[in-house]
Amino acid sequence: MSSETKSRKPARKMRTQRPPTAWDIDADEKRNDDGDNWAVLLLTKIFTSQRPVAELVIDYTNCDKAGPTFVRIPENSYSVNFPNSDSNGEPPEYKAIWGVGSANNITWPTTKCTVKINLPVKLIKPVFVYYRLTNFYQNHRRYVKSLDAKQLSGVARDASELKGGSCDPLATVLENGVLYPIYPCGLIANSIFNDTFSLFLNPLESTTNNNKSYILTDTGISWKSDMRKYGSPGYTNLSAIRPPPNWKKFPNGYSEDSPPMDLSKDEHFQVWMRTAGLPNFRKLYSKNEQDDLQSGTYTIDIDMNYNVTSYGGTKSIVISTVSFIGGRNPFLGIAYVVVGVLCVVLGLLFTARHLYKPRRLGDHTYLSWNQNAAASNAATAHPATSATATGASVRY
Amino acid sequence: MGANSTAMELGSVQQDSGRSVAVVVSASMEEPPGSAALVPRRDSESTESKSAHPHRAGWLTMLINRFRGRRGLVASKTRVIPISPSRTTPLIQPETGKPYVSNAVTTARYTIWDFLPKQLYAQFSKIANVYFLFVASLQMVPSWSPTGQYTTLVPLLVFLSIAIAHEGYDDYRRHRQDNVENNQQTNVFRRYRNATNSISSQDRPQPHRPISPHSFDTSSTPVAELSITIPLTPTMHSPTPTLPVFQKIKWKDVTVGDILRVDQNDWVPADLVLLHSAGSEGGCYVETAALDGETNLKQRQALKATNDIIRTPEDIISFSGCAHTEQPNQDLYNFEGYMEIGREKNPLSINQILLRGTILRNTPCIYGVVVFSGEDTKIRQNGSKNVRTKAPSMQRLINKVIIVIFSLVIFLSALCTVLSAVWNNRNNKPGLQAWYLTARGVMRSDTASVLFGYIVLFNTMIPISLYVTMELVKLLQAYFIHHDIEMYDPVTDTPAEARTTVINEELGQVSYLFSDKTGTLTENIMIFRKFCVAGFSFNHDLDPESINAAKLSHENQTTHTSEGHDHRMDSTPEGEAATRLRRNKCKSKAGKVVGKLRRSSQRRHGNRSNTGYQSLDGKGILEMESGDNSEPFPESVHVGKHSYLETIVPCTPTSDLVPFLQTGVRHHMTERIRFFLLAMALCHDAVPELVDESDPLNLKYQAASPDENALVAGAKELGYIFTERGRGGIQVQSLTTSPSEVPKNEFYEVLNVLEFSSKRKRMSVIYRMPDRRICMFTKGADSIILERVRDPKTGYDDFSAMDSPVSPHGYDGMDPLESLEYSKSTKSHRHTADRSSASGADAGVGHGDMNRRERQHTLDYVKEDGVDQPLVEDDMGAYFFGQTPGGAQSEIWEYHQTMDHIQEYATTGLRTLLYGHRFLSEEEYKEWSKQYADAQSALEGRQEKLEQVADLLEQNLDMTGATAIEDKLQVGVPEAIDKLRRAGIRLWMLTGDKRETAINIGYSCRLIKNYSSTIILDVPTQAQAHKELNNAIKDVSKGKSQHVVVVIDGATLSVVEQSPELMDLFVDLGIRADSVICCRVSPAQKAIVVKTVRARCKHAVTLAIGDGANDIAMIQEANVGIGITGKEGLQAARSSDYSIAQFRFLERLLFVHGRWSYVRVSKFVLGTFYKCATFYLTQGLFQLFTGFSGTSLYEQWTLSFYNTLFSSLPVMVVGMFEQDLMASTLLLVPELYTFGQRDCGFSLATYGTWMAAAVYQAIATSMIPLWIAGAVAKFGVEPGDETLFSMGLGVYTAIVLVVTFKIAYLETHNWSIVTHITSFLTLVSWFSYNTFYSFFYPIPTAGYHVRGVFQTLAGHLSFWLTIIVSFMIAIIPNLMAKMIKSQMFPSDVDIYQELEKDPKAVQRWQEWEEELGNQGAEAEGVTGSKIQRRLSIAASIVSRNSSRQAPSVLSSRQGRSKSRHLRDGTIKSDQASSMRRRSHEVAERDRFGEGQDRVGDLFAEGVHRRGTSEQQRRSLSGHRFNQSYNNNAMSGAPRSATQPSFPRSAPFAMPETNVSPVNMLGLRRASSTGNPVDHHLARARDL
Repeated sequence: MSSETKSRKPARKMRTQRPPTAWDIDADEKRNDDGDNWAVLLLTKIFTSQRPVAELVIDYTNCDKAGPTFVRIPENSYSVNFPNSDSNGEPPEYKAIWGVGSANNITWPTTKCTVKINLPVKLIKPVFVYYRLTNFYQNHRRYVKSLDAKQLSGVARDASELKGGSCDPLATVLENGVLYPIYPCGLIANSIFNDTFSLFLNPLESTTNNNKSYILTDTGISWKSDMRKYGSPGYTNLSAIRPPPNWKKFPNGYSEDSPPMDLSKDEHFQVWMRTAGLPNFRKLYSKNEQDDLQSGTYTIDIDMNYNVTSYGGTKSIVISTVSFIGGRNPFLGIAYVVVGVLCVVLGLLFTARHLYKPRRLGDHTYLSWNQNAAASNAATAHPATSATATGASVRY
Repeated sequence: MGANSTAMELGSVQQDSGRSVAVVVSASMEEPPGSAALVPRRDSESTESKSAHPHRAGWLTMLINRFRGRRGLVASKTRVIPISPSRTTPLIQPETGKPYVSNAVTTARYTIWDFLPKQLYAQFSKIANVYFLFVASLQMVPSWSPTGQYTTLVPLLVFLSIAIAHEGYDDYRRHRQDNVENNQQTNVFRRYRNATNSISSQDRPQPHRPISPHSFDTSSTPVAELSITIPLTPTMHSPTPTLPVFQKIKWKDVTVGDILRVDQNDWVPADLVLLHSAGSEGGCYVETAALDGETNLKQRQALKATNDIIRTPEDIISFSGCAHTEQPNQDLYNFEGYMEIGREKNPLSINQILLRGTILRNTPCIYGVVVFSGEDTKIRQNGSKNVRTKAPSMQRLINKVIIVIFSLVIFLSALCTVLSAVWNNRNNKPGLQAWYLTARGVMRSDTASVLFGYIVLFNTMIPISLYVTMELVKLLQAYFIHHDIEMYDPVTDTPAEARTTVINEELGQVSYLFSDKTGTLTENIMIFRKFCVAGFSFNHDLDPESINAAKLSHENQTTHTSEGHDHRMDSTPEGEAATRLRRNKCKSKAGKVVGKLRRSSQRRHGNRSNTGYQSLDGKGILEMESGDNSEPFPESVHVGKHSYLETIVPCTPTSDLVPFLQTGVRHHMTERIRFFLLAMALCHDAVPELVDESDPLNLKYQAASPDENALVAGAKELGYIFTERGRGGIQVQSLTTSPSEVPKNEFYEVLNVLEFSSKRKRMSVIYRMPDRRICMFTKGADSIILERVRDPKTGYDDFSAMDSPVSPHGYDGMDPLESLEYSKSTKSHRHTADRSSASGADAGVGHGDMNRRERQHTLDYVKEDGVDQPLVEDDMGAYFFGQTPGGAQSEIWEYHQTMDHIQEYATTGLRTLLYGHRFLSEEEYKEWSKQYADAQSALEGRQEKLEQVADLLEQNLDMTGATAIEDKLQVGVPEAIDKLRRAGIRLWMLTGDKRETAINIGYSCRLIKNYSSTIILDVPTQAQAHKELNNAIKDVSKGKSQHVVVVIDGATLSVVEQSPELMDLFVDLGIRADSVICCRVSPAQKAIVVKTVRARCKHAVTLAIGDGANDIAMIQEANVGIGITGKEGLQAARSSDYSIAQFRFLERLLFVHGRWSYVRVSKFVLGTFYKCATFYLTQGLFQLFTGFSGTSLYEQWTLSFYNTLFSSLPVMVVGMFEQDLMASTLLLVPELYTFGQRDCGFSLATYGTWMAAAVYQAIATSMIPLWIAGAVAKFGVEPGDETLFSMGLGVYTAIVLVVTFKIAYLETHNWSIVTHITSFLTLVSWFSYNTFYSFFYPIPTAGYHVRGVFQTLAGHLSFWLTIIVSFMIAIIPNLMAKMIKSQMFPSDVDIYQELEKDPKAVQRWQEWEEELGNQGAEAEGVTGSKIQRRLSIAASIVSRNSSRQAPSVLSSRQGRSKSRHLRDGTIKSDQASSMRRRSHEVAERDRFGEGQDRVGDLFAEGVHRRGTSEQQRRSLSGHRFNQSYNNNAMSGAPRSATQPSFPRSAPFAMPETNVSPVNMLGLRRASSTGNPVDHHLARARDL
């Protein structure tokens, strides 16, 4: 693979005699060849490295339409990838039953979605559960800055401070002529993802995992650096603040009974607040770093509260492992293949061109004044008329 | 105007004792101590003024009204200045009703009041600044800005204040300079009356100048010195009431009408009419270097009327007159007006005017009345009015690009805004609502905020730091220019200096070069080089040392002379030996000369043998005999460093001649020569100046023109020493005629001087010789004198058929040289026939007879000293002068010889003058002088009458001889001009000199080639000018001529410049021609020419180069102004943009520094725009994923730092250090310079390609990472982190990599260590910045989650893989494009870059350099170290490369020249056709030989071989003149075969048929040895 020996072949003699320090075509060709080899090498690595990553993505947006019995999830709504396995297992199914969601002694109607997945192979720890939203513009300019950092860090900000600030238009609420600050204010907090995933995977059959639930945890899912941004609410008078309008957990606002959550402990909130850069994103929901996930069939329960259909988005649940280069990423591999092919093709083209019709280096006939001279000789009729400011070379 | 001038008041007198007392009183102007002794007297023409001091305003209005009443009379065509010393109020200008402009002059551009507004205007006329201001104000609105609020405003203010402060400082310096000038002191005439008669102290006299009140503050006017001269003699008649004094005042306080006294060596403070001069006869001398660049003194002459009346200060009091002058104008060479004294009108001409900016020389003092002051003075009128602020033409392009970018920004913003609205609509429908973006279901619509937000987001696509970093880059370029050792002149210890940095890149784009002549191309040293008497040419090359040497050896020689003679006659063995020895010497010492001569045709040798070479023999023997102990003549005399003509026309050096003349040898030639030398010492109006009191012969001459000076000095060196100019005559010490004689002084009485004028082109002086006879000596241009030479039948007929190199008759469309050659060759035919019919050496006796008498006449006089002896010519003379027995030569031969010599001188660029003389009989003279006196006293048309009368006498002259003066070119000028021409730069020479001079210099500096067609424009009217110009343009457009030179003089130019249409035509013609010479042009005309060309060719860069104050206007007008820091002071250099010490440095300045600067700035600008475009386009692309909301992909500080921290270094390094080609290549191949002229470095097209790259790379660097991050995927991927910041981080990193790599490696040719370091630094700084950020970024922030991101991402391989792949995808196509371009469509630069790496080419190059070094080391003034350095560079390249084949370019070139010849073959006359072909050959040689041939030589082996041998032959001549001649005349070997260049006519040649066997032998020997000297030696022996 040594390009040194390769380039000493007679056919390429010319090219190697160039100093390496200056811009030069052949050095680039050489570089490309290196690129090829290197790319190929890397490609294989990447492809092989793809193998250990198991990933399961299930779009459950339409789960509520599934009915109380398990139905097959449409082909285009899920994607499974299990390394070291010939089969992808049975296709996932889901069902939905009407139920109630509850928090803070309040209940509301909700849809409980149960997703059934089949794992043909064991998933090596750590195992992560994500939710994935599409077409959700968390990076929208209005959205991305719509928070009040001080309020989040635990400072009690009153309405006048928030009004006109970055949280607008969700900074305050006007009730009976009184302005109440929203806590936590802003669009981001308001639109927090409020579907809940059960924190365990239930084995559906007794054979699966010895009928042991696979326990997930939702602590430690937030970035350490993010945690420090948040503090317990600084407000002492809970009646003076209002929850964001979209928060279903507090239909009657805050009270001693239904106090605002401690943001510094609410890691889902922290994860949500870490706005994504792209409209399709996944956020960590829970994980298990201790145990491998044994093969078998599991179910997971989801409380469907979050409205994605109104903006044309989808929501999915993702169960994934990681490899040494991170998560599963087919696109990186594709990019490298493209680059490799490009280099090879171009290298071949140049070689062909060089063999077919080589240009002598430093050929004088290519000099502009030589060509001009030839041209002006051919057309001597108006030699002087072209003698403009461009210099005498035109005439000669 | 009588009222003003005659209102003189004679009051009581202060009688003083009868002796002169000089009182110097210290006084403040405010309160002259006069209150005690003297007070300024205020009296005026109107009595009101006396009492009405407080009501001066009213008085003024009255005066204004009075003037207004006369306005019709004044008609503003003339200015009327009453000369009245008693006036106390300033004169009122009738046109304005205000006093005349103050004499204070400001060159500063701003006052304290208008500085800021003007500067703000100037700053905001830079389009980028307006743009930034706009953006900054947008950014101030918090809700609009997606980035910070002050990130634009603060830097903008900083950069603006830097720029303004810089400008302010510059102007402050100008103010200070102005103040220095305005506060210089001069002596103004004032009258004071005695204090005893003074008015009361309350009514104390106010200084009489209300216009500059500030100057009378006690604070601002500390102390004025009154130097009062109390009259020597008490006034006898009626005692004057006043005391006339000259009081020192500042220049700025001088007003029109003031009478000034200017002392010797003082600057003249305003334009004065000379009233009286203390010099002889009212004459005075001024130095006008600051005005027209000529350093010689000019004579000014006071009117006889005023000069006689005004002799002392008190005369001024009683003087009353009125000067009527023209209105202020720019014409430096003409002045119209008259002086009214009483009823008498005395015409005023430029002869009576002392202009501001001149210096009084050689005259004790003068009195003059101020006619123009301040801005009205001619020097200021000639200065450019509004000095434009220079901006590089690239600036225009940059502005264009900025507009493009700005439109792009607006377009992008608008597009995104529209898309954002669309997106909003789509996501705000009932049922499909992005509810998360709304508060309670209402989506805010904020178009303005989005639009302006976008503008702010994209604004930095135009980097705010562009101008500042560019300034930095250019500063370094300027530093390189300043520190280039090869542009350092060790003689004057001056390095090149860049006084501005703004326009460095313009140096690389120059298309038109406007050059001053004197001091720029020439050294402004005139040297008497050659003279020709009776057909014999003598070479004068005497350094003072060699003169001394000659003197020393004189005694030795003379004692041996006769002996030597014998030797020769006897042809003794010793003689033989001596000859042989001498021959050897010739070979060794004169080897170079010989080498050249070998190639000359045999015919020439034959001719020469009878003239010059003969003397070499004589000399050789003389020298031999003079003993071996001392070498009497330094070697330089033979092959001396100045004697380049020797190599063309071998002729006797005067170092031989003078001693010979002193031996007392009798020969008619010696007498002729003596008489000629005497004429040189007599015919002039120079003034000697004793330099050293102890040595009466150590004289310096002050003459009206430098040539005259050179001639008189030449005469002095040749033994005729003009020692004194006394009353009525001059003293000349003549050369002794015999060794024993003591040199004696003789007095020659001057009877009349018929002055030189440009119309007459000659001057004559009539002398009464010591023997009481009257003789007139005339000297002048050869064409003029020839018309007046006696016996035109024999002489003039021939010459009339012959064009002198300068055709005086307007444009004739003919190639003067060609016609010349034609006529000459026919002539020589005729003479050959003549000679053969008249059988050999005795031919022409018949003619001679009739002329004998006359000549005898002359000779009779000359030998007066040796009274009784008839002229017995001894053999020694014959021996010395060769075969010229007296009378045996025909006069016609003499004429032809003389003419040939003159022609020869002229073609080699020497200035020729012919001398004639005529003896007058007493009666003849008396009659004539009566007429002359009449003419002199004529009132009307005096000048014409004088000329007519003079013409009467200046007829029928005897030809005394001809002289040739060298206007010494600066070192390396012809070579530099050649290279400039090859670089496609048109050279225009603009000079204040005469046309003949200019053309001569044109020849010698190769501005005019031997094959050039010269178009001389000399037309008096516009109509004619129109016709001529059209004709000329037509002719030039036909392309008949290979090389066209247009010559125009100032007078014609002033006709032309009156009509814009004509001016356009002229410039059109000038553009088509290869060179243009403008002579006798004023500074303003120079500027106009430059301006018109600049306006006509908007895209061409003009460069003006000059050294004197007269070039300032031009320098400021041109795009680039270059000052030569020469001997004429620093004015030009100070107002220039760059200053260099020598013209030849221009080569390096333009080809190397200019080119590099251009390339650097181009790449810098392109790179800057590119890097910004790439970066900000990614922002635009990112909007696809943000619902077009305008979210920034990058954190705001990171964003702001992009331009300064993470992308500026590589691009600045390119701007500072890029060298696309090596200096040696650029110097060798000037053709490469067209790169800049054709805007190859930076144009909208190149910008387009860079932008294409930017767009592509922006897409690649942003989309690849985003795509990989799952932006478009249905199921997505998991990067390490997917926040906004980490998205941005990946893209940003990719961009930094791509931009750095592209700029530092793809676009930089010169990969230096700096490149690597800076690239590395950029990356390191980027990563360390992020590391720092990730640890220390403040926690509570919105939007961008920075903390810990980088360290997390860095741990993910996919992060790096993503960056790498996007980098590769971004860069590979660019790489490919570059490869394809350089492989398949290589540019000149590509080819030479390849060649620079070709070791064989480099080797040939090296050889060539070596030859160049040998040949041109002196020529270029290069030192050995320079060559050494170039070689080492070359060697270093060799060592890096192995071998490669190089192609030959020969074939294509041959093909071309062949086709040219074919085209030329259609010319009718055989003769003409051969001529033309020859000229073409030369042209071809010149063009390709000097141009591509060199190139070919370098790289094509076959061609090179030939080149080498020729080079080697050439290199035999070591001297620069040899070199210059070589390249010019012999650039072809083809030429020497037919030798049309200096056809010595054949009459005296030995036709082959008549050659005796011995001669044949001699010839054979000559041809076999190739040594012409042998031949002559042989001949000499045979005789």
